[in-house]
Amino acid sequence: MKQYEKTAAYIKEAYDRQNLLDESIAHQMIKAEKNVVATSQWRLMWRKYKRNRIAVAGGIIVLLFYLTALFADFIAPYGLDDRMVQYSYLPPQRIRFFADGRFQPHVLALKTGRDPLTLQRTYVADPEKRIPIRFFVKGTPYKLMGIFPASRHLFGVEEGIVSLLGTDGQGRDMFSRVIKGSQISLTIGLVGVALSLFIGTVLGVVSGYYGGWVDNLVQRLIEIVRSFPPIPLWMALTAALPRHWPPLWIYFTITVILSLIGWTWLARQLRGKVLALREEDFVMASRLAGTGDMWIIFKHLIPATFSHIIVIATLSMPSMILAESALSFLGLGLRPPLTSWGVLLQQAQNTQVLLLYPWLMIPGFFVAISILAFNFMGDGLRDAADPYTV
Amino acid sequence: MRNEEKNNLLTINNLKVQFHTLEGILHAVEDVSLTMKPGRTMGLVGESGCGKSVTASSILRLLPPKTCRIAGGEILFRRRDSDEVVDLAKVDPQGELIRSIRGREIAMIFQEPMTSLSPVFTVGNQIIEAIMLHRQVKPEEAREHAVEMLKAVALRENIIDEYPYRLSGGQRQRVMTAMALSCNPSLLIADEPTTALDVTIQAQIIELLKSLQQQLNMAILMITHDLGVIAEIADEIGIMYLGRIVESGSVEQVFENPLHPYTIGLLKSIPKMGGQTKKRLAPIPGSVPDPLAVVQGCAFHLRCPVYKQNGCNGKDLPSVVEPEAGHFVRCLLYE
Amino acid sequence: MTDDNNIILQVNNLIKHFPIYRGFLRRIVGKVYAVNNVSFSVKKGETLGIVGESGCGKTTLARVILRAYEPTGGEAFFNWNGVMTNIFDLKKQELKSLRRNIQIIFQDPLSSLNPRKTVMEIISEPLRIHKIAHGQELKLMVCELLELVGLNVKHIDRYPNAFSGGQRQRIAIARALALRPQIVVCDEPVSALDVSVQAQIINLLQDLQNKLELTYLFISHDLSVVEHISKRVAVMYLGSFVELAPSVDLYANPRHPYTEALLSATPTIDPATRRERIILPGEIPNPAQPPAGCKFHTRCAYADQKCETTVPDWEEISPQHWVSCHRAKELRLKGIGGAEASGDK
Repeated sequence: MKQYEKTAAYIKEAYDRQNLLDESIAHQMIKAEKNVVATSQWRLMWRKYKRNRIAVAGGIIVLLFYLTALFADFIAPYGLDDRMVQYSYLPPQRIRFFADGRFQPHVLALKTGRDPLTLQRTYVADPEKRIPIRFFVKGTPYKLMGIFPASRHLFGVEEGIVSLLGTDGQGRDMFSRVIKGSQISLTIGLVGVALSLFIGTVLGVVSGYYGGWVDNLVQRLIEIVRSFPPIPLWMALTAALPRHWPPLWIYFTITVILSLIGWTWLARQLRGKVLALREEDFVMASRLAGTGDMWIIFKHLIPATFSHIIVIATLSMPSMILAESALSFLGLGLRPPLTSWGVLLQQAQNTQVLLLYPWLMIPGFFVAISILAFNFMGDGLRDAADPYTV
Repeated sequence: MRNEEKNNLLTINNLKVQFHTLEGILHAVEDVSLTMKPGRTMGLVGESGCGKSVTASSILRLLPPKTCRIAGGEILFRRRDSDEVVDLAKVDPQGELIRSIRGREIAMIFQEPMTSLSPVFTVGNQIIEAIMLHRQVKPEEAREHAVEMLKAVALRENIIDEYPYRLSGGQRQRVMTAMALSCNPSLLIADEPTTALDVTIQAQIIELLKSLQQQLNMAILMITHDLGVIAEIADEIGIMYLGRIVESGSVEQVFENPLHPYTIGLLKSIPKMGGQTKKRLAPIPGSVPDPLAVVQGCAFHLRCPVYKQNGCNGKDLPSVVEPEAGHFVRCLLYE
Repeated sequence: MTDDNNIILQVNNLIKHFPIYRGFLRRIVGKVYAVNNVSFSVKKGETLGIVGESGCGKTTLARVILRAYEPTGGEAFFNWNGVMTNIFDLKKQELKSLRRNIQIIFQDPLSSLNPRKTVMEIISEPLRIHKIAHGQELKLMVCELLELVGLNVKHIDRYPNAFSGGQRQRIAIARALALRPQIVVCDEPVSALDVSVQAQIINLLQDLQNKLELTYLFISHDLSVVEHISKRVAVMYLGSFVELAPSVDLYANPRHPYTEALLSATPTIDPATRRERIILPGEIPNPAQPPAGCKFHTRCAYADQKCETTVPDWEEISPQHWVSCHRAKELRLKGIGGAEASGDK
């Protein structure tokens, strides 16, 4: 026998000798997959989301918006209805950060005049007189988050006015109103989405899991709901609201109305997902272990669609915000004293106002930014949502 | 030696392919060298992640250009008309040269033919398009040729007007083969062509490839994980493990006289048919390591039953030795 | 079939047809004849292999026995503590407790393990459903199961994506064994695995069978794996069994032309068993429109006129050797291994 044949025979023997369910195998396995890290779904999602810069930016903006909404009373220098009649239709003020070479944010005092021709008020800044902007100043008292009484504001002035985004016809500070308005505009989306998530998840999962006539019924229902043109439907529904209802009731009814249409999209998406998941072997394995429908739906199907639910929720926020703004803008949604971005935009309804006081359109800018931010965030989440498909 | 090289259709020398992933650099192919002659079949065998498919795709430069890079080595291919030798590792993967070789001189068939056939065109359309892309012929001639090709792969003529989804898996694989062979390539790369098929259909395709090879005198590079298929079809064979060919030689040499512990383990893992003594199998312990992990020394030492503490896991890779003529192995035990 | 006490599963004339629905009103326009009149019995502790090509109905057969699909006809008796109980008659609650006795291992562990659950959650699920254990006791049982299948207990809180294919299949086996079943249906359990790992899992399944006295229904398209692990093998074609025999007998002396063709088509690394190939012409017919008579006659080299019109009987041609072919008695078919020696018998 040649040397190499001997070696080969030795190797063959070594294979035959080794005992199988032996400890050494387990050890070799760990050695071999040292690099594999146990990762949960959420960690994988976050890792992927992080890479998408625009999505991260969108996420940060959304976060900032909600923080602002949460601490709106503190951040806004004035209360919602603080009228400073002497400063009506004041254009946005310029903030100067340096004075005499030092950092000292201030605005200039204003001299009021009247245009001799149009008789409109004009404001002229007086460069001699600086009004320093102070932080944590005392101002209009409020209740933080509706609970803690306070009167300190993030910034403000002791005399004159500081108005970053100008004032409206009644001399109310637009910046403060936009920030307060965000409370309603942003939460109406949240509540509405939560509600449509509930309806959509239940109907979507049930429809996908049971199939057959249940599925047929739900799908036809979705088609019927979707075939209504949304704006006239909303108009009809909101017009039916009694005028004397308290603002809070109106607020909730509007969210309900919005979500009554919003759920269809989610239900369709989830149905598709569940339809695919239902055929997966792990669902079959669970069923053959003796589980019932409820166990499978709640322990396997809904957790598996969770990332999708979040994505869909994020992506349906913009339409909710837009819908609210549109309704309120048309005067069908919320009405003063409730203030939302849509309500604020009502002031910008005629061209005359727009030409003369363009800053009244600024709430629209906030609507646009928030919608873009939500969309960017949603897109990023969608790309990151299914870490296992890659 | 020079004379021999002259006959080679394809020579791969020390090919290295890397993927740049977010988790790090993946060394898909570490060091692969092989030669192919016209009319012969070379089999590349290995388990998932050994780099066999990447090797095949890099010949046609079909790898994703953004993440994947040929980091070294050469792929020398002899052109049919000019007899000129080009290094495919250096050509522009989107360039004129490689496109004139793809399909015309080197063709490829895949595991799942459905993904490489368009669902919206008839089988005939797709074959005719492939023919007309590479040859200056009239549509009628191309159609005639397409019918000939379908007959060559033992399909009925009227399949030419069918859509791919109407065909069975075996028929699709035949259509794929007809398409690949329509330009009479000098090299056919077959990447797991029978893996998705049933045994009886697999046998049909293997016979088909064998007889077509005889008619057309083409070389076949067969990529598979199935040792049985390779034993039936290949002349030479290379066993791959983690990006390297650990053993190569003629089919008889490797199957009758396996040398590398990995090859021996693979052969011992397969139950023998008709073996009336049902001996317990003696498998290779463990599993293929994570592809991103860098294994020092011989990559197989983590699973090797005759692994030597010093040497196998050392800095140096075992070198390739040739214990018998034409039979190469990369293992310290034979050095 | 002399020792009836030893039979753990007895299937009689099992039929499963899937209706094909079309259109808005979901009218039934046809049927897929997935399983037709299959009968067999399995003894305690043995492995019955079922081979066949894709679409032959082997997976459907297994799932009907598991009551994952409702049968169209037939009976399946399970020896439940000495009482032969028809699985198809069981009510919901009884079915749930039956599930403790019959479990399944799937082909692809990637899809049979929920990627969002840890190993602990996956393996403990059956134990929690049947309220067998909870808390610390549950964890101990899972650890025991992990050790049983050769996995490291330290990995109990990992997710499936941190394991290799072979390890995932071990997790799936541990889950199937959690309820200490008597019968385990193995549906292509090694087909998705690499060759070297495949052998590990086969060995593991054999060890577990010896240790726990399991009965396997082993479904595969791979003839060499089935021969290796099974005591008896059934060959399935287009929804019916065509042959059933002890594996040694079946491989050496096939009596059905389809078995012969399958054996001959299987590529082998062993030059000693390599032989003249029988290439079956054509494809497997559509199970929604099966041919009349013997279903194999469209591809059979030995078919005559009788085969085209009459369905052959399922008969015991020699002890333990069942076949369904008109010409079984006259044909001399080639097997592998000891074929030459026993051919003239």
